[in-house]
Amino acid sequence: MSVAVAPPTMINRVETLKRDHGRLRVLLGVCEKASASELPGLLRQLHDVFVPHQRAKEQLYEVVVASCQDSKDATTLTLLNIFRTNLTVMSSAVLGFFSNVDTNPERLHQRFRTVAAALRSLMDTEEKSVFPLCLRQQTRMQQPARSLRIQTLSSPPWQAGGR
Amino acid sequence: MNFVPPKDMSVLDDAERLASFDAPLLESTPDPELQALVTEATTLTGFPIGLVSLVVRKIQFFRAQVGLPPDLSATLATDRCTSFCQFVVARGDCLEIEDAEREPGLPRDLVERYGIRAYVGFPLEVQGQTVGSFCVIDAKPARLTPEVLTKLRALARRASARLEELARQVPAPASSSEAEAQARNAWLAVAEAQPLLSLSERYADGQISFEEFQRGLGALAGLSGSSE
Repeated sequence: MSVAVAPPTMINRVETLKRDHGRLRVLLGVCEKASASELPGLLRQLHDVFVPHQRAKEQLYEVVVASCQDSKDATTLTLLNIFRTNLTVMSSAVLGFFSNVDTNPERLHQRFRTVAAALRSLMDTEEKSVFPLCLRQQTRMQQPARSLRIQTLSSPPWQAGGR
Repeated sequence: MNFVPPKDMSVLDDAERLASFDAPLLESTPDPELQALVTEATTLTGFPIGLVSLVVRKIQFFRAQVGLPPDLSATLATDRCTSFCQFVVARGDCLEIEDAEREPGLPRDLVERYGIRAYVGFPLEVQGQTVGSFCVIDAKPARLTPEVLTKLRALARRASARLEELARQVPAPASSSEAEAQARNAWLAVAEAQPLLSLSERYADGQISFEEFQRGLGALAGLSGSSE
């Protein structure tokens, strides 16, 4: 017997991504303070947290962009497409960095600082702009249905039956 | 009308030249010494914009700047293909543009987007490679006297010396192995994507308008793969 699982709500998706951000930020800090011998192993850990997180973000964009297209909200759609492009460009670059680790420990440390700064910048922007946009879009999509329900419930019985 | 683009621009993608760029050169934290030099250049010339522009693989990165509009001071970069500085690197010599409007051989993007008219740039050298241009820019046509050009060249030499010091902060590669080149290129891809993030962050913080955000993105269209 298969049990139907409801898709995650927008707020659940956003909350999960925020928790991932917390984990990523801790790991970035650990990597920055790590010794040269520890860093390559920690980068593998970072990779393992980053990959599913990035997939979850792509799914979030897919859902919210489709919803904006339905509601014909051009400004939100433009912004989301910009942020989505940033995610795609940066994720591809960061994954390339994880797959091509420099053998010189000192240089790796210096270069990692660029990667850490980029990931922090990406997460900051998502928390300040992308997640609020997603939640606002969810609220907008719910509003017509909610107002319809309120109207129906508050309608006097004689109206519900028609004149 | 004097400017003719060099026929051979291949030096821009020369592997040894690109190997000169490492973390301290593409750091966005301002370097006080380079900042002082670009400020001195604008005072000397009367041009409002002064730059230490590093011409990298896909972008020109402003390692030091004075006078840039808000979107460019957020990204500290534009696409390389629209830059004037790429020609300083390709020529390995000074480039003087009195009025960009009258030079059809120049890329139009920055002229139209930011109203650039006058440009003077001198090569910046690190480890024997021309990495960029020490330049001044004006939004009106202008020409510098030979005396001012001599002093500007001297400032460019000091900027090169400072960049050389910064470059030495990273251990030189022990060998030029394929793996090392791949590691450097992978890091460079992250470093060159950073301007997109900086711009978005500045917009998310409310420090630039939506119009400035879009203009800055337009100047990095090659990086984001968008064609506007």
